[in-house]
Amino acid sequence: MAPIIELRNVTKYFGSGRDQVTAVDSISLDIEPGEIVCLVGESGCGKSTTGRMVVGLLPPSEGQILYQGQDISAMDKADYQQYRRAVQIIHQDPYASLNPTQTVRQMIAAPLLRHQAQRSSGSANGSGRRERRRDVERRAAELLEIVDLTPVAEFLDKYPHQLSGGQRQRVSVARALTVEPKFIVADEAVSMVDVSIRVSLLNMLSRLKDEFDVTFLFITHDLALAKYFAWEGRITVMYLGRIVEEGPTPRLITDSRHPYTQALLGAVPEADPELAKKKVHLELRSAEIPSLLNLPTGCTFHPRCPYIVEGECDTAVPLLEHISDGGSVACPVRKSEPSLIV
Amino acid sequence: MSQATDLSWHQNIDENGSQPPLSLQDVHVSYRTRKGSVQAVRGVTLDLKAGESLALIGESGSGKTTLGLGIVRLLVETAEVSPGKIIYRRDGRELDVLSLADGPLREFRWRDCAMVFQSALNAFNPVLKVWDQVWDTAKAHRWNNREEVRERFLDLLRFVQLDPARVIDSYAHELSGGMRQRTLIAISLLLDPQILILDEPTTALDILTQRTIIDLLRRLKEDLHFTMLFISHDLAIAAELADRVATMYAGQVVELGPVEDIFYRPRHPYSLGLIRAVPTVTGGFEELSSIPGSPPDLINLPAGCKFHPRCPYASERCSNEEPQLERVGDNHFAACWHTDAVEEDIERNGLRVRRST
Amino acid sequence: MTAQGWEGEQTDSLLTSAWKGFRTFVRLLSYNRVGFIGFLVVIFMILLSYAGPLIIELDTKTKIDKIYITPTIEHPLGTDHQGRDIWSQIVNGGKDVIYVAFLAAMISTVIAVVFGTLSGFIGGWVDSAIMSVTDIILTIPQFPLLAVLAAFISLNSLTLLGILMGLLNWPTLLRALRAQALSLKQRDFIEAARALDLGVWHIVLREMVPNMMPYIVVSFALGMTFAVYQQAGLVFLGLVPISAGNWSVMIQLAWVRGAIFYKDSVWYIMAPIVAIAILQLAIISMTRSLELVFNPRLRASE
Repeated sequence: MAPIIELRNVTKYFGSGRDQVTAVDSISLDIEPGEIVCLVGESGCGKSTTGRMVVGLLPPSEGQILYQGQDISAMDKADYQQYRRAVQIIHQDPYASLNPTQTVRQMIAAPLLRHQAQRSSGSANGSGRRERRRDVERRAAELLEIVDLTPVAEFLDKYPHQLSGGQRQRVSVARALTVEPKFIVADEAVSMVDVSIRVSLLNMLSRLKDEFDVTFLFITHDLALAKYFAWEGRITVMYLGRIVEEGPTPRLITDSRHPYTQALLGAVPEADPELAKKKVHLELRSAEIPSLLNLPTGCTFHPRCPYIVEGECDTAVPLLEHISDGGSVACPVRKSEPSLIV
Repeated sequence: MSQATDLSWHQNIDENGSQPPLSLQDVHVSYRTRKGSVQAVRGVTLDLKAGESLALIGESGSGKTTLGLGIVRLLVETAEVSPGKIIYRRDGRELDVLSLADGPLREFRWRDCAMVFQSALNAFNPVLKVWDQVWDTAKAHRWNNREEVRERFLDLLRFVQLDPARVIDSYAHELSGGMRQRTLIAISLLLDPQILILDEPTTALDILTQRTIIDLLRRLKEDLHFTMLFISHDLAIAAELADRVATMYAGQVVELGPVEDIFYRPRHPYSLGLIRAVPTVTGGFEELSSIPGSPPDLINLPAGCKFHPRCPYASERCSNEEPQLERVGDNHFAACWHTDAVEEDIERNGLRVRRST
Repeated sequence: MTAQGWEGEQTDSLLTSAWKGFRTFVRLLSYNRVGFIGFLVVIFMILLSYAGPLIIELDTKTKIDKIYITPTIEHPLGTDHQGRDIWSQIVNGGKDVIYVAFLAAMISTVIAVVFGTLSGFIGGWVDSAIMSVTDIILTIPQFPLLAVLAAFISLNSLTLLGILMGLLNWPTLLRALRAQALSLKQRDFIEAARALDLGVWHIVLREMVPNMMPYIVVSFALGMTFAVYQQAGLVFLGLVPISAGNWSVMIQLAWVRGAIFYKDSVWYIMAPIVAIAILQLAIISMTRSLELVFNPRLRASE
């Protein structure tokens, strides 16, 4: 099958001149329909920028983004509109992603009303305003039910600040579903939600994938969540704008190869005292993340990496190379060494 | 990074001392709002023992942060602490924290019970260099020997594994998030407090930075035997650092016990629910489940057990009578009418459910 | 086609919802005591100026025996240089002042809101073009311009004066609103609206403007106060031909007649000045409450 989203050597610069930073540095990524891909990394690694470029909210500085095989920057108006609606985003902060001046009904109705004409709904033409509105009302109720905001009547007239963080994220999802998307970028969609509610949100997203054939790009800093959500998918690890390792989730979690991935896996605090005690940590040579304004030469991880090979790591930018156990690693030094973590 | 300096001047308190340095007795905190009184903390009784680290775990609205702020009396004006008593003990003297006047209160906050805040950036004055801020603090506490203060602070910076030369003349915004958090911990140790309260010490930090902070706090705990109170929504902080854990829900401690008991033998459905909701990375591949419903409205709390609308074990009794903390093991307490059912559930289904792949 | 229109159908009775809205409005208004008093005074001034003339007729009769008398029951504010009642002039002279100020503030606010938000949201050449025009208007000295304009067109129509003032007063507000739009544009819910392809007009009018309402309303009120002084200034300098009697004209006349030189005539010149001052103070005080009323969070939490 053709990839639904394809990134080809995508680069994004911010600023210009001396202040120019490379937020994303020539990354390539294919996402097949129905696949779950997790983009994992720390702040400043470029994962959110990548997500926003995929949704078309930011244009790439270099490289191409393809939707169903078509370059989005070269699409005609109709195709672009189709892409625009097919790819949606769920933001991280439930307190910022909903307009505080609108009720849930208004938020969901607006895209429904706007796109009603384009939808192939038979009752839409000639049946008058009243009929159309009833249609929209019915659809809004359906969507709220899909995201488990029931009883629906209780939520339709609520304003965002009257909802909990988890409920707001559900409204965000329902709003995204109004345009029947094929692809959703979930940018840290559950990280600001209470722990006890995260799982049900994740499960709801998983259900969308199965019931509505939505493909997900799940962006998170939390490896444990990535492991849970994408167990049957892939994890891609980013560091300072580059992809350093990617592969099927079970392999990446249990047998990671890139020292940065290993450092992350070892560093994640575990919600289990025994595990926390037993866990092996990879000792880094430096605790500080280099500034994006002044990136290290060669492999950007080399100033922190305990496995550094002088003269090699600090000169040549390592390429992503396939490994036999699945996925690829951008570390010629450690790509065949089994992980000590886990 | 240089070897950690040992803070020889730190006064280790007598761990065999009979009385805990901090006791909370039936502490209530409410906020006045236009819509009514928000019952943020409702009767918390808790001892912080010398040399132990206790984690207060709970989600938003559980009252954990309010309680922490209440201990150092930094609550907003609309908050009222009553009834309740907070007793602080050091060297045989007892302080009633809630009745301290302004002067003694400031002393208490630095010398006895220092708090490290969640948002490290806001804790700094943006127009002062780190050293100026430290020196101001020292002077405010009548410690006027500049050399001595500087010496102590350099020691502390080395202890938190920062390059003293780089940090001491920087402004807060010039430091990275992790460096700020470590600097803040160093400053809070300046006057050698007996107790350290840390509000979400690692939230909003990157994973690798979180690890360095956790390691630092562990050194404070294991090498220097600091008495610490962690406030966090993150179970992992408790698992990594705590000796004892108190789970809070709707303003009350619903379960209290040694860390192993809470994580492996939880008896309150809420604690169990949290554990089953949080994935691990290096553990197996577990099935997760979330707790249904949302946190209660603190203005109109449900009758009986505050957790019953979300509880899978809830019975008639739960909606009428509110359970109190009762002993369920050595030093292990839970406030639930159905601790047996929780135990049975764990025995039957295991603590975390393995997912077959 | 808007969400707003659709929403109306949900409520059973338009009257009940209007009543509910009004009650919320008054309750929010009353949170700030000073603001509420300001609001009441503004309402009073409007009533006085628009309903008052129906009861109290403008005194146009010259009474030589009653020149510059101090307040009596018959003439609560005394009389002017021709023995005419000042109170009746105050009652009849507010309408024009309020009308011109409202018109000017309305026009400048609408221009600023529409173009400021578009400028901030769309950016690019649209932004550059709008900002260039803004900067040009901003640098033109307004009083001399109006003086020059007055020489070419006769500003004998109040509406024309209001429109002219409105067309000149928007640049400062536009810049402020553009800055707000720029920061709003970064907000997640605007991004979501863009991703949902809701269209520029929907985003500007339904997503951004409601979030700027407190600021817009306060700016509108302040724009009114500015316009009041502006027209008083224009009239006072004699740039606008004096036609009907209004507060500004009263001041000008009093000044020309030398009313400031006699102890007894102080009522004549002070009455319109105080009337204007009270109106201004009331409008400015009212803004405190308007901020609350148009804060979406506060309104919705009721």
